[in-house]
Amino acid sequence: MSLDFDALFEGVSGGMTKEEAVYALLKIAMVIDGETDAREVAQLSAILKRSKTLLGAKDGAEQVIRKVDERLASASTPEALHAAAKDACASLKHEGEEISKSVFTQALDIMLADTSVHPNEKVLIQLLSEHLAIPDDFVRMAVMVITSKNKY
Amino acid sequence: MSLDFDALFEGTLGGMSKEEAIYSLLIMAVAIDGQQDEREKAEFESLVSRSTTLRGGSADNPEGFLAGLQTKAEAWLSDPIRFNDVAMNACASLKHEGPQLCKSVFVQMVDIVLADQVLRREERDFIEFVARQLDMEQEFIARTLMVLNAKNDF
Repeated sequence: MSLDFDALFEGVSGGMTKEEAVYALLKIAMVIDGETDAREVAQLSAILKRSKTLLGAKDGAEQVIRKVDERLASASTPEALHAAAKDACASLKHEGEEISKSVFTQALDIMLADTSVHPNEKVLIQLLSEHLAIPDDFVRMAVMVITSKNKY
Repeated sequence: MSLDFDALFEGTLGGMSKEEAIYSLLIMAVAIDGQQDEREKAEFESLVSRSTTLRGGSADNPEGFLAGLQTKAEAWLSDPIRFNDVAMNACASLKHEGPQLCKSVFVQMVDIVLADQVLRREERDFIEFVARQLDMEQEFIARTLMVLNAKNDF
């Protein structure tokens, strides 16, 4: 009998695949303010359509999305979502700084798509910048550019 | 009968409405490379769907308002000569609205252009042209390109 490595590493920090971690962070960015805002949904959908990482998933993006959605369904509080985000960050950090910056900016674009930043979103932005080890200069620059983009 | 001042100034440099200028620049960002890329279209649609400015603010019929902008754009999108005139006119019109709106639309445009992860020559020229026309600062352009390149890399 072969081992189910996904099950074996479930609950271990950093046990997600790269694709799962990317999608988890984008989905958490959309739901963390407790509202399903149409503008945030549209931005997530636009990013998913062009994400090289998700489109290149071995078993297809749909499988990744299904798996992560199932996992996040039980995370009903901001604290649980922040914990899931930490786990995804631990997995993504292994993949290097460039992909971390990319996903950080994508998540920021989703959170700011409704033109306001909710306190839970602020906590998540700080958590992502710390746990993905995004340089401060890049965080400042990304917040400035994405805020400008979503202003009108 | 009251005059239609939008029609009266159509074609005059700076005579576009704010909404028409924004819509024109964003749809140009999709069309400038001559290809209908799904990723660029998705970013355009996402921006249009969430922009209160483009949906006519408090207009009673935002879908009708957007359809009107689309119909106008179709008249010049496939005409290279009018395309350039419209680009210049849209920038001149947008500049009246102040630097913050110009910056916002510039970032939106660049995000559309980079959505397919390829920067073609004509796209680069278009970004340069709009940046010049809108008086974008070098530092803002550099930051925008750095952040959006990172965003669209993976």
